Amino acid sequence: MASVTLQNLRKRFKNQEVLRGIDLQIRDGEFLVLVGPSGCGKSTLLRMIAGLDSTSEGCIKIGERNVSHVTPAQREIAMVFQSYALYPHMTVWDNMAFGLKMAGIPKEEQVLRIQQAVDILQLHPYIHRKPAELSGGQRQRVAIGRAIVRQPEVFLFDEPLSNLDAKLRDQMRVQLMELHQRLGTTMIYVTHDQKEAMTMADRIVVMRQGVIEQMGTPLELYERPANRFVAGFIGSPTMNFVPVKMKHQNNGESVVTLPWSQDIRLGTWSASVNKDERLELGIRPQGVLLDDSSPYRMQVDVTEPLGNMVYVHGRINGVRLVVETQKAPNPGSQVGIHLNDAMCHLFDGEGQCLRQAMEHIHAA
Amino acid sequence: MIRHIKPLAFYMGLVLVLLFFLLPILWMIGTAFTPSGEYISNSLSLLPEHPTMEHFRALWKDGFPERLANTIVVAVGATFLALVFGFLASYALVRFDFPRYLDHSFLLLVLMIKMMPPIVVAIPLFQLLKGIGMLDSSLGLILVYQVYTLPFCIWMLLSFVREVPLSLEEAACLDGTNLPKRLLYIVLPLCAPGLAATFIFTLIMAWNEFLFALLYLSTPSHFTLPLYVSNFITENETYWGQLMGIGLLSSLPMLFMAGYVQRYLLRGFTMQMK
Amino acid sequence: MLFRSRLQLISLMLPATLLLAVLTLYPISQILINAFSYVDYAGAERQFVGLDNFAELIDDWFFIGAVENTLVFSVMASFVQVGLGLLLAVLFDREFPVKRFALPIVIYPMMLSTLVCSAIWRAWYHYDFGFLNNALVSLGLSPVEWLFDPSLALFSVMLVDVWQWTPMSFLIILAGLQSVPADIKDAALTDGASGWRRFRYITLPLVMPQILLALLLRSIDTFKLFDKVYALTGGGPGNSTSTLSLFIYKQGFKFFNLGLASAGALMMLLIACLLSAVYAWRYVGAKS
Repeated sequence: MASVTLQNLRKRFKNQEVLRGIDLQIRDGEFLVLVGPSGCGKSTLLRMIAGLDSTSEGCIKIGERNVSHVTPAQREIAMVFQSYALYPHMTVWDNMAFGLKMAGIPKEEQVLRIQQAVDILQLHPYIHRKPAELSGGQRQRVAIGRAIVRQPEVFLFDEPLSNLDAKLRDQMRVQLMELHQRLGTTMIYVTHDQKEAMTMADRIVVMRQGVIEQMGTPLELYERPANRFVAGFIGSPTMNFVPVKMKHQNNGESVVTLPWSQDIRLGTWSASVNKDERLELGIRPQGVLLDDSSPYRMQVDVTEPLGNMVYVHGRINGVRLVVETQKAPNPGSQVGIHLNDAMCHLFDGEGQCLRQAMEHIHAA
Repeated sequence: MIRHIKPLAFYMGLVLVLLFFLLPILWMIGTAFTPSGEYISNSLSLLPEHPTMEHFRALWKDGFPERLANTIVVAVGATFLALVFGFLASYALVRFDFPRYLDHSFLLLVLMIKMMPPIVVAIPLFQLLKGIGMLDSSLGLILVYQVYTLPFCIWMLLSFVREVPLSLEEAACLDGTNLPKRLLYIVLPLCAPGLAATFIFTLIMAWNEFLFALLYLSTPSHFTLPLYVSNFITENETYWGQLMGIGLLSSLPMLFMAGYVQRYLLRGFTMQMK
Repeated sequence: MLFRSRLQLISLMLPATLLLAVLTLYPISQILINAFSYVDYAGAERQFVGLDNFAELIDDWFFIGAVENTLVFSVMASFVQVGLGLLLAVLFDREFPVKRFALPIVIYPMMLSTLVCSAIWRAWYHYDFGFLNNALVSLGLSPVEWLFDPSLALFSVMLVDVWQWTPMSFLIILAGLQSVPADIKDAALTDGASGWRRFRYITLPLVMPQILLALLLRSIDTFKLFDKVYALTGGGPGNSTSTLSLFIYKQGFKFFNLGLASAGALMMLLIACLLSAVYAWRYVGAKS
């Protein structure tokens, strides 16, 4: 087991810089999730840690060892690929044995390790089958088994669940978390799915366009997004964004005006903002309340009943909003809404967070 | 009505086509067993009245086994050389992020060599072989056959190597293989069907090659089978029985091989288009 | 980092590249030199003569005839083979009882050495005792001089090539037909297309790449035609079946006229380059 340290890591392809100075300290035994939209550089970062892509600048340390220029096999890492990358001409057993054979590990030791992995992943019935004869979930488990038997310092996962159907994905997510608890090895996990990131990670790193936007525990990112991008990326359904105008900012009090001419008090914050400056207010669907007494009416477009709650999609003054509620209004009807001012985030023109919400209701 | 006529027309067409391809072959087989005296006839029968093995016996004594051995050495040798070199080259072409123009110009070179009539280079190659003392030898023939076989192998194998997912090689790389081991344990087994199809086609090509054999072999005992055939066509007489005997014997190994890898043959052609 | 360096991959290409360079670039450079020289074969001496060899070629009735024959043969033979191959492939693209045995029969001619093919057909073309004339006579028709009638001989040679190599076109096109997904055929059926129309508007466009490939491969091969002519007619009667390959062979290896042979080879190479440029433009251009 080992920590992983990335120092000012840069990657250039041709004349495009896809990673623009990544500094990251991954603690020993941590489950770290790299998340971001496609093209943000998260997979490249993972592949650089694995040694599959070279580093243009900066350094990668696993434990105390600088591995920037060490071959993948000598980095003591194991990787699970999105496509699983199982050798189609070998049986499940041979797939797991191949790396051990290449490393020159004695036969008895090989058998011992593979047997153990087979136990953990319940692969007994399949060890003599070839990958083509397995289902997606079984292949996934073999791919994980192949990583386990190498007893690496660090596990790397490259969107390992994206080829599975929704139900299987939920099961595998739990299995992977159990595996992490059982082995306690450092794991670095790449995904574009914020739900996976939120549920699995000890710590999440949100990336965009080759830079780290924010890192922290899932809760930190959810409650205190550093900017509009992270706020919009983390959480489902997405946070509502409403363009607002600064009305006045006196000692102890700031007031902004919503497009539907409602004023809203947001308390104090450090930054000072000019009068009439255009800002953006962010509020999660739980922060918008349906209130029949409110004069501000929202037109209901569709409702999304999920059993224990309903998401109401509607429009007010051309602004689309999603509201979480218990009872579904009729589509086409008008409902009064009320924004809980304690749950409002405020972002400036560059998307930097000016004020964070004081109060949170977490999604189930 | 039409429903009944259609299959009938289908089967009649099929029979006609099959006859066109089959009759000459039947004649070849028949003649190989026809006694010399029976050649000249006006009958339409394709089969001999008094079958005989005399031609095969004559061939056996005349040195057919030796020519067969020459052919096997030359054809298999040329095929293996082309497969090994072609496999390595097509792997590099697929995996290496060459500048586009280099990639294209190599493929263009391959295509041009494929287009190039062998007679064009026959004279300088004659002098080349003479210069390195490989004229009239199996080894020399194996070498010059690469003019046909190597571009063909590269061309065929490219599409098969392209099918090997990069992530498999990356996985193997993490598993601690270097390039030679990866080629041997991962890429080669995955290309096996393609290699088999390519092997057959190349072998047929080299097995039946005539022009270079004619030009570069001079000692009768070094002859390959296609050249050996011409022994039986002389100014005075054509030994039809022996000729057809050789035809039958030398085509059988190819036919069996082709039958064995039939399903790969079709696949090979489909793949080429990608 | 899959590869230690570019050098590693370049070294993989090296054997094939070197071998091809030695086997083609060296000979082609020799031809370039010889084509503009008078070469004394015995004395191994060379003298620069400019375009003399080419002037001689263009005046040479035998050369012009060979060019004509080669082009006529190449175009006609490849079109006939691809057409016949397409027909066969359509026949074979369905299940019928003896298919397992029919396929090997159809592709057998491809496995035969060209010389054996030629020998079979030489016997069949024999004026007095050949199978073809025997058949004609028994039908009450008059026999034909298959190989000795100057207006017919080239087509007789072509028939042999059609017999031997149609299977190749057939295999390529059949592969294409079998890779047409069944649901496309079903969709065509539900659209009400049937028989000829289905073939014309669905099947044919889908196997067009294979048809073009077959045409490409066959036109390359027929352009090089040598051994059938060598074995069947030797270029005769007169000059009626002589091809470019045969012309160069005779000049180079029979008359030892290296200058003229090289000039002819150079011209042939130029035609081949022209053709491959057209194909490359179609193929490489379409892919990038």
